Amino acid sequence: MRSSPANSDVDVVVIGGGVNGLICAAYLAQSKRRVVVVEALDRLGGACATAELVAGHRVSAITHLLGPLDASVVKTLRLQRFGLQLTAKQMATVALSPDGRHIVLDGDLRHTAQSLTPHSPLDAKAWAPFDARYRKAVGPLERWVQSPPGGPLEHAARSSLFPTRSAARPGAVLDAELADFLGGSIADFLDAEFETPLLKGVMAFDAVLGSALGPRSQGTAFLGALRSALDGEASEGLVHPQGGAGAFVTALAKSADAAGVRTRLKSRVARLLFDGDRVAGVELANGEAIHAPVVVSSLDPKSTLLTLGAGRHLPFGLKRTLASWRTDGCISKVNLALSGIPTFKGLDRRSMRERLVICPSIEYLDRAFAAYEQGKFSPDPALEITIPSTHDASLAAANHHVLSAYVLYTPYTLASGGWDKAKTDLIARVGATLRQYAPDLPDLILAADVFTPPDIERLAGGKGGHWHGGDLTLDQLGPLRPASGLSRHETPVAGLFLCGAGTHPCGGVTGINGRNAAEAVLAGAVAQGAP
Amino acid sequence: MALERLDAVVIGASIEGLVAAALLAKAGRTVTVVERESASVPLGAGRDGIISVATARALDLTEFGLRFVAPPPVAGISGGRALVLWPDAHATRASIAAFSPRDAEATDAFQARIARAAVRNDGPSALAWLTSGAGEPYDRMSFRLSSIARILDEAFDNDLLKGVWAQGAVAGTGASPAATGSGVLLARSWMLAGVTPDSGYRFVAGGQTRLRQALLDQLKHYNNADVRFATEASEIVAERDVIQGVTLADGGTMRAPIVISSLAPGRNREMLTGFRRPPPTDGTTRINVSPALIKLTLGTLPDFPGLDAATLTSGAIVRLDPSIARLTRAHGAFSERALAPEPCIDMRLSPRAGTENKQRWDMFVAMTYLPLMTNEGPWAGNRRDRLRTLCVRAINAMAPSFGATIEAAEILHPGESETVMDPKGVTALNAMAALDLTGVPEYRAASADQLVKGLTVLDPSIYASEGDAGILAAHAILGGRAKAGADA
Repeated sequence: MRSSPANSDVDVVVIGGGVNGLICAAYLAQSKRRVVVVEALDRLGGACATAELVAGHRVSAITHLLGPLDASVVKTLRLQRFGLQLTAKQMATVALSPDGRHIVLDGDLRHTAQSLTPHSPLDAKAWAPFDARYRKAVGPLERWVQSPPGGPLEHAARSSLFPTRSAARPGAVLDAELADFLGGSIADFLDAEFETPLLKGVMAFDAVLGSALGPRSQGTAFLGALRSALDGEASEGLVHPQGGAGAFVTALAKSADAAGVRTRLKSRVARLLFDGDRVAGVELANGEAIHAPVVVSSLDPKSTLLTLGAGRHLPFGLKRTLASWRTDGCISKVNLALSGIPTFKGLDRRSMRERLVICPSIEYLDRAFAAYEQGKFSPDPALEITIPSTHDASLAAANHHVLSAYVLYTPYTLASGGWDKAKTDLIARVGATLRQYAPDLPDLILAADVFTPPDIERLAGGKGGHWHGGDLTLDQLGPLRPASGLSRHETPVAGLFLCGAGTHPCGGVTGINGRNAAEAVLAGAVAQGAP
Repeated sequence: MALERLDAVVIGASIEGLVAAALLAKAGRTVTVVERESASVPLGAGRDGIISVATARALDLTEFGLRFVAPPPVAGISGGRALVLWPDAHATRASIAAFSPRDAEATDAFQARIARAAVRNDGPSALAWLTSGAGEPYDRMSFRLSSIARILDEAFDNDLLKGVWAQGAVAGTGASPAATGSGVLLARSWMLAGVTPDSGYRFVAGGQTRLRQALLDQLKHYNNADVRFATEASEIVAERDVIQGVTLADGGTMRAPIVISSLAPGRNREMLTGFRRPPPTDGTTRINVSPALIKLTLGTLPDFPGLDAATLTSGAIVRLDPSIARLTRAHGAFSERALAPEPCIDMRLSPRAGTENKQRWDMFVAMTYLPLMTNEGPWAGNRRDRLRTLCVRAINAMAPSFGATIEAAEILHPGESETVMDPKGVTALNAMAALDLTGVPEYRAASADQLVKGLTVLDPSIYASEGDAGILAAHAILGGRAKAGADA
């Protein structure tokens, strides 16, 4: 084993130079820790990257909208000073209708009600009271997503987090609503509130986005509430940085660099080093050792704790729990280069800058999920679309555009055939679906590319290609993310912390995970009086 | 036109309906049960009879010939081998050990975890769970909110063992084993299986048919109770939101201040007349599960590779190559209201009583995730033939000589909706488990919802047929404590 010359002066090694790894590193460096980030690939950013699809057409390769991005992270890391320019933030969601009667969800109660009126005057009237009720019910979760739950039963900490009720008195009204969310499906929840299929479709879409659950699966109502909570007051909402997702990483890397973080590319960690039961650093694939009293991993929890040699330091039950941690991705990404601006029926130029969703009803989503359960993808895929070149001129030449689409419910493993053969078919299905909303779109396509979950696994390095670092389901959320007792970024191995998307609250470039992990590291150091 | 005045009318001779009727009759109320089918229709044929101990005691059912028996063994067959869960824990461990010694070791801990999850308790509130999640009561709730697949993956290595457990948990429901929240079904199936004496449920000899007969015999014993077969209720009559009685399809009327119905909630709303405001609808699109059973008459004992004849003829439930992956795919087909190409099948053999010279066998075949209504329409004609062909083909794939043993086939119970638990029911069960105001069985007290004054719905999409809903309804009406265990 060779020793790195930089060994003696490292306080913290961060494994993985994805967004959360970099954020965690930058926060720690701002607190005067000497931090080294080791990244296996030849670039930073993980799933956040901008790629050239075809000459003159650049697009966020995988993750296309960042966030809901926590405002405090942008401010503390001075990302704007380091070049971050948001060409869109607090992006609205437009639920597309083939006949042009789109529904707009932009936080403006009047807009939404107006767009609902042609569908259902009843729903238009019901929107504002619903919004008020829902916000009230979800309110406590806005604070909940901000700090990791769990650990020892800290009644004091808990009651300060939720001052509205004491922890000792179960069954309060608030609880009943939350319990409904926990146990209920988003379909049941929405069916009881609204009658417009398109409205219910888009709201159900947002609830299941990023989980391998259907709209009628129990617990999806809570996922919808979680998403709303992430999009709360502390957030910039969904954003697009000028230059795409890669530009966000560039700004982040500059901020980290300015704070003193050293980054090492092409440095795959082979195993963790231990000193007794404490972590003592990492050993790279080339045999080089980097010694440090603290290691923070942004890899998914399963890979971190089960594949890097920490297994013998874990209780047996925990190993079983982690081994059954779900990481299979279920979303693919299709990128299109366009020779002109497509015409969506009834959609003005301004609205094309927003987040467009194709999910006409819960039944539509349910059919796509039924195909997923059988190891197929639906011929009628549910899509989240952005056309970032409408507000970011740096991505494509004048009058040219790039369109980016998440395709829900695409299995990691197909039941028959493989992805190599199925990719063309998937692009064709996405094209055919888009044609129903923008008839001229297929004729504008210059080039197309698709990233399936196995591609995302390869490119971004995340196991299973799940950009949440683990499926978003009730048994992998909150106090159970990634396992009971591990939800506060700590692990049973002293000095080893988790900071990736697989920690509380979830992935999706919120910045919260990296920030909270850094706080956990600093708090741990205070508790132990070192380093 | 006949006009009768009663204290209560019970619609449907379901187990729950009969339990409620018997308890009301025992308390001196005049009560009539109306059942659409004739007395000769074998309701519940081929199904297990499971009764809660509380119900059996409250009704002195053992006086009416009811006998408790050990639960049947449950076998999974795959690749020419069989894994059997016996009522006896040692035998079960030995069988599992042949597949995975580690899993055999883990079985006790797994059973203990389920037992803790199924226990009735006042657990944490949803908020407390969200903010802590660690420790005993929290684990109970985590278990219920987790998925069957994840819980089993955590506990065991062997796919066949996981498949045997998972298929038992989702049987008769529309829930996927991969869905979060399905963990509650694992707890429920364990409880109903009556493996341990304190689970509160017991199997009865003779199955659901015998259980029903005991309840009918008990009702006969009371002068103030009556059961009318081939009598269909067509309307539930209310005036100003207060129940007045029921109208029968033959034009007759029964007046009563109380109506207890075991029809599906949607059907009750359709039948309800004379309320001022329309009762609340849940507005959901339900994909109901069909409780259909295929009854095959076999001329010779079939040979299932790996499963000995003694186990097969012991009344064991035999699961055909069960696995979580197979169940998940079948659930996908079910969501499309289609038949899965690889059906998930439970088989049960019983000797046919008779005076014939030749020994014949009845084989009851149940398919999990059979939609009540197919995407091509209701179960009829060639769709029924296709169902039978599909089942036989799937069994033949495991036991090549099986098809040759079949002498006759018929399909029981297709299109019934009286005894199923659908996904909405599972969701409701979970919502209550999450709330943890009650444990699993007591939940039913809260859901015996009153649409209008005097109407009690024994929601068949939520209840099983073990008497809990009936006992709760009767207690609520009689002013007793609405708790299943109150009499125990």
